[in-house]
Amino acid sequence: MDALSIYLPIAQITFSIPLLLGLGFCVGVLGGFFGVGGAWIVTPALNIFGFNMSFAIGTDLAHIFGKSIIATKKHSKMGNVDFRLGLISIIGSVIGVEIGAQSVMALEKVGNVGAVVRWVYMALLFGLGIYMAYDYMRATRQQAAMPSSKAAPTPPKAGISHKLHSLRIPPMVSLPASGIDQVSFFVILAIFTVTGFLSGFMGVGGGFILLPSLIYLIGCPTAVAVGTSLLCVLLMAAYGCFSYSLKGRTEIVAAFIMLIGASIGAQIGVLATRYVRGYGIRLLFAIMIILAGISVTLKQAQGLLDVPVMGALAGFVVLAAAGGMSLLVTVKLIQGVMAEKKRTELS
Amino acid sequence: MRRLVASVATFWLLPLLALASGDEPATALNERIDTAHLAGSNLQLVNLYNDHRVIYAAATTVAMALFGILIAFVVDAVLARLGLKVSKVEHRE
Repeated sequence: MDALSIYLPIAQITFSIPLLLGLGFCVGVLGGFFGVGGAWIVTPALNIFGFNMSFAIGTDLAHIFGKSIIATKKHSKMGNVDFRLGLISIIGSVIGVEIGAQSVMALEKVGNVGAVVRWVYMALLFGLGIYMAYDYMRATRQQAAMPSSKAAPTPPKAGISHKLHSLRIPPMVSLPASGIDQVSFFVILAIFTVTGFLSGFMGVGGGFILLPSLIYLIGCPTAVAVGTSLLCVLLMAAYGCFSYSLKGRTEIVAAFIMLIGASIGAQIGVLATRYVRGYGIRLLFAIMIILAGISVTLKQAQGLLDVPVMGALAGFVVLAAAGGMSLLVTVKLIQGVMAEKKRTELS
Repeated sequence: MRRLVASVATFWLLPLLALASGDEPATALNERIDTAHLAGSNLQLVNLYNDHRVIYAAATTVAMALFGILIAFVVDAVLARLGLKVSKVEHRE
């Protein structure tokens, strides 16, 4: 064991400290910036580098819990968290996750549940990614056509969220933090039940489904969607951390080290949302989930074609995407801070 | 921050309900780690893991939350000293 490695007594393995810090940092940046937990990056990474899969999930959930507290607190200070919406999400998510898990059990009896889940996962990652990239291009074209090109693009008025807001099924709730006057409680509940179902069905945390749902279905501003999604991730991770620890599948030492890296990363990610416009966040998120989709496709192809190198390539794609995107977000923050300082000096 | 704590506290009712329902514990509960080669804090941690799994789970979760809150306050203070004060922002799409 060298100086940069540590023995993890619960997982009973020796692991590199810089690797844990680095993974925590990357996923912290992405979590703070996109409002996701990042389990789809950390879990396969820990697994590739020697963690047993269930330990990888449990340890990841533990550090996500701590990291989400840091990021949610910061987003809350910036007015980016809709607590009312977050609390409603719990009810819908719990119902949805249970239906999703039961569907997996039912499919398991028929057989080949793994393949079905992976195909749905791929369709969702590519579908959401392509739609969000298309939406960004539509907004950019709209902005270019405006007389003052500096004006911010606006979401389409006939969008899905506007149609859903017009459904008057009592009780109606007001979401001032999201800028929504009135929306049916049952509409929100139904949306979170569907997102919860998808999370439960695919066995993922659900941040990557929640963010686009909050933006396109509920109609939250992007920054509020990021903050509120993080609140939902926090609550889910709290339960996951306790549940996996109870099953003996959390390596607390590793989770602590990752949390140190994630705490720095989360601050960078959250602060960067101040300097990147909502549509910019959407585009970067679209790129990120398309890359995640490519990684899952490679993993699926490995099983179908029986080419082991594709599994390694899948891991490389997801890690490179996470590293590259964290770097980009950090650069955006530095550029934003420098531009702000320049403006302050001039005025 | 108070609302955040209240949200977390509310959510904790769910696992408590699950525990009260008396579901079968996971099979991993019976797993024990050999402590022969361990000493110091590692030994104490593994003893807690082996003998008091519920306390280990609660301690892990609480420790993560406390550590997260502590870091959030410390980094906030550091960033404020560096001139990066965070306040409410206007949402730009």
